[in-house]
Amino acid sequence: MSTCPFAFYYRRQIAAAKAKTGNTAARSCVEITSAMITTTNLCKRYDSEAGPVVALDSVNLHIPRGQFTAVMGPSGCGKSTLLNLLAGLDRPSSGEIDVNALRPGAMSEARLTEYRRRVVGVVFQFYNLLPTLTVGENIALPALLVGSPERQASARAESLAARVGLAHRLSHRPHQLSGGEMQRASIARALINNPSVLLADEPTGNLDSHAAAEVLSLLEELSEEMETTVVMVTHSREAAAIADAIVHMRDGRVEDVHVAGAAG
Amino acid sequence: MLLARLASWISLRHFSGQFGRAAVSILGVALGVAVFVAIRLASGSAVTSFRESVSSLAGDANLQVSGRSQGLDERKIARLLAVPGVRRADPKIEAIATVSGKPGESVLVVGLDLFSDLRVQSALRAAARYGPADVLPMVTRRDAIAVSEPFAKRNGWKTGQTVWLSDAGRKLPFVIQMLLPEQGLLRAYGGDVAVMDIAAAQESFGQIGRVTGIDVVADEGRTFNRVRLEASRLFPGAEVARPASRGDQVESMIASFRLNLVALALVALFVGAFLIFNSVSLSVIQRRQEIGMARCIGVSRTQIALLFLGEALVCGVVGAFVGLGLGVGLSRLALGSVSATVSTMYAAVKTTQVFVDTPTLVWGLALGVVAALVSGLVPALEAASTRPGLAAREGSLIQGRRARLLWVSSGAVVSGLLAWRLALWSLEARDGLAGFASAGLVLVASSLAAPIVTVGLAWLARWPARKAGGIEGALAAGWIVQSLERTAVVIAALAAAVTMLIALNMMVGSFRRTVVVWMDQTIRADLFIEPASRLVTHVYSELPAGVVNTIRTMPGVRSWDTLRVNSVVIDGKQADLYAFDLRKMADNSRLLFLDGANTHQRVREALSRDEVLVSETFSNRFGKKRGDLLELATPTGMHRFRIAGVFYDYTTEAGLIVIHRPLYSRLWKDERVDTAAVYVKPGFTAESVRTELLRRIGGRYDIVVLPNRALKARALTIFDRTFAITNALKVVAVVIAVMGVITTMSTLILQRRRELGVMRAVGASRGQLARMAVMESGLIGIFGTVLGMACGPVLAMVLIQVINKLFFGWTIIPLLEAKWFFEAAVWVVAASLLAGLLPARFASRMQAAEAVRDES
Repeated sequence: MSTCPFAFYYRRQIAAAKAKTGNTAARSCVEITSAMITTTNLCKRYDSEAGPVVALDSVNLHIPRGQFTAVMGPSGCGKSTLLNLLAGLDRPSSGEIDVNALRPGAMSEARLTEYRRRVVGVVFQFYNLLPTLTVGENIALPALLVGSPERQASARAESLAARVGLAHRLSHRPHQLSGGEMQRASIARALINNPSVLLADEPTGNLDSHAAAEVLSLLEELSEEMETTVVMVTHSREAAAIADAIVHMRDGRVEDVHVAGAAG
Repeated sequence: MLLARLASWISLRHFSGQFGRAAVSILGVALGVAVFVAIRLASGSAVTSFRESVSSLAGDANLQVSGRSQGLDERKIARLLAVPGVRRADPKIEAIATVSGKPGESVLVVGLDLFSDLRVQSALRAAARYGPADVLPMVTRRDAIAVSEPFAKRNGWKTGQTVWLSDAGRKLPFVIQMLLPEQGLLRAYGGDVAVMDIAAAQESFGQIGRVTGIDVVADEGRTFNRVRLEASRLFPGAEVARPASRGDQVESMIASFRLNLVALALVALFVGAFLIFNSVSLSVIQRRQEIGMARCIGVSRTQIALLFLGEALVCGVVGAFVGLGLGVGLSRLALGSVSATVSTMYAAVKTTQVFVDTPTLVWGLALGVVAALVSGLVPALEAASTRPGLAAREGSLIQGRRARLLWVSSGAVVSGLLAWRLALWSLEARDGLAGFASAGLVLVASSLAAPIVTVGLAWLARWPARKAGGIEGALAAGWIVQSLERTAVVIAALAAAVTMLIALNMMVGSFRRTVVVWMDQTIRADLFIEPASRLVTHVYSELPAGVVNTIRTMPGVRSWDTLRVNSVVIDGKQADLYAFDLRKMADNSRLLFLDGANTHQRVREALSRDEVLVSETFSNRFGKKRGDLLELATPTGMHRFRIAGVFYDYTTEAGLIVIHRPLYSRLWKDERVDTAAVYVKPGFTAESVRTELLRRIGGRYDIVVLPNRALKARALTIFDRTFAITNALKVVAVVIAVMGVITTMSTLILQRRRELGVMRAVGASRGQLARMAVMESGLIGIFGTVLGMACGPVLAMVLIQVINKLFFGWTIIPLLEAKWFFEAAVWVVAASLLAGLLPARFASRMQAAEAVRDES
């Protein structure tokens, strides 16, 4: 019997890794840190009083492991919907999502919760730190939710806080922090369970240019350090400029994918 | 016009989307109003029934001479008729008898002069099917009775049938001669009336040569007072009054009982008002942006305040109307209990229907509306203070929380101090309403203390909550403080309910324990013998002489004593007069004197100087103490008695005078006995003496022989029944408060959509969110219970030491029992946890994507 709390996920990961690399020694939970994301004919429709609204229409994407991908497009083009589906916050109407051989769209509620806990980390535009918790507690929260011992979760939160430059703010409440600091705390929170995918929804949308630059730089550094696949929704060209690839969306469809360094 | 349009745009549209919350607020007010209306109607109906009964019996008489227990000498009726201004003087015999073989059934038997009494003749005329041949046996046969038709029908009786009635320990056979429609005097005593010839009634009910009352028709005007004085002179010791004044007397006797029940009912409305407060302030928070925009486009502060007051008013009016309907329904349920209490404690009354009086409905409506407006005032003013254009986000309106917390907490301290001063002042000034105001201020202080207590308890609870409930527990405790504006209100409501729960438990429990201790000290006889009818009618009636003679000759009887109960009127107020053999009482039993004096010493003093002893309630009610003189009207004229001592007594709140039996017999010319008490010789058991006594009496008399324990148990049964209605009040208050928990928690879950969505996004499972909601709800229950537990004993002390003293005059030894607190905690916390289940379901079903999308 496996002792790993998300055994089903890791069994698939190890099997996938074996299949791909032929490395029969790939057994440890921590060996798998990056992901490959594939969406196939992904559709999302909402029912409204005026009739069905198509938010995503046959989206086909392939995001290689460890890639920093920016998703751009006008408001209402389906960027956030795509992010929510990847985050397991919503379910597709049709089509498939494959994240490291996992299919969140077809998972039971309990498995989807585990998926959100272990596989993805989410950063929001408005930070969404819980006001009743200190910065340290906010960062540690996802680890505590998966049942990590408090001491272990706190130590990891302290280390991440130090990494994002908030070591001196651990016992502060969110309202005592600046916007940039809150977003850094939010990033630390998203990374505490070592997710293989980091999803960021307009992470700089509410920040001044200086704070935005800091946050982007941090996202870039951390994704490299932790070999995390990043998908970032943004309106900002400057923000998108740091990405390895930029996905342009319009009317629920992928209009164009631009890979940095690729011709054309 | 503009206001109506604004109401339609801003209030009505919002209101329709919040139907559940509005419904709970309306129900909160409705339950509060319903309890108030039900109690007023039930107690008022008992008084109205008594008045109707008196007026039905009195017919057109405008003066009644009531003989009390000793009756009136019928030979003096001719002298009364000779008094100028007296047009008619109709003698009567009234007796409440029980129906053999029909447990709990009683009937008022009225003996009248069938030839001359207009009331009977009118009743006979109404029964047109009967001819002179049917009426004649009513006069010629001593056992012929006419019974009201509905009563006969209920008991399955027919004409010609023999029925057995029991009075004063005797079983009497009667033949039903006629069935009369329920009209006129047949409407008395709830319509359970039997009429017979007065001569036969005198014989049957042991009143030969005497009548129980005389109904006088006298000329109104100058001669009326003269008639009254002459009647008093002719019948010394009798009560001479207009029929209506008997109703007034009963009404004044039960006024305190009624007022106290109504005051307790208002606590339910107080708790209900919190729901309105919560509902309106939530509307303000949710529509803060709309208010800011409305202010930008020129809507005035007053208009904003009126809009929100209007919402409160709608809840109040709808709730009050629903409450009126509910209250009328509930009053039918409460009628039996209240009527039985009034019969036991104050006057024999049979109440079968609820009399819905307009003033009660108007009061109920007004209270519901005023409670709603008062509770909506603070949030309405807060809404009005919104600055134009303020773009506050929903649920994040915590402006100047610390300053407000300080103000509200200071208010709690001031209210508490004011309650204390008012309690002392009300005792000095003997002002009962000030006592109620003091009790009300205790509840206000408790409510105002809720926010600071919540902050403190949440801080204390954080560590244990985290240890017991993990991160969910810590978040639950934190969220209570984050949403203090909401949670403090529901905690205040819960605290008010728990305060009432504990205060009532403590008051009733302490009172009960005091009565038990008092009974153990003073009720020492082994057996008590009395007519069985008293168990049903609660009216003292004469014990047959044969029974007393049997007791005298019984082996195993060490000593025996008798009690005769009569009543006296002093300063227009009635008190009970108990005639005991004080020597025997001093030997066998004891009285507990207020000044701690020895029973033997005090009784010796009373015996040597022909003095009387009075109860504490008498002393408080009539302002008399040891050494004061008491002037009493007796059949032998006015007599003065010095009070030898004041003793603790819990028999009657009307007040009790104890007089030595031989002195009573001499002055009241009354040798009759109502109850006998037997002390058993060593070597005999109470049960063996009881069995022998019943064997010797055989089936001749309808009496009960109660062992000491059974008598005390009966007293406690009556006690429990008297306070049974308070249980209903406690339940209603807790139900309303728990409704508040459901609505508040549901609202909080909606307000926290974003936070809950984020929780889901960072990995919280549905179960974790549900657990968090249930834990928060449980913590709210615990905080409300803790605050209520602190305030409950304070309110209990006001009820015991101030209100009880001022209205009833009992001495109650305050007691604290852990089980009262434990019970309150278990019920309220369990109910709060259950109340959290529904909101927990909302929380767990919340769609994470929608919640986090709702960011702007």
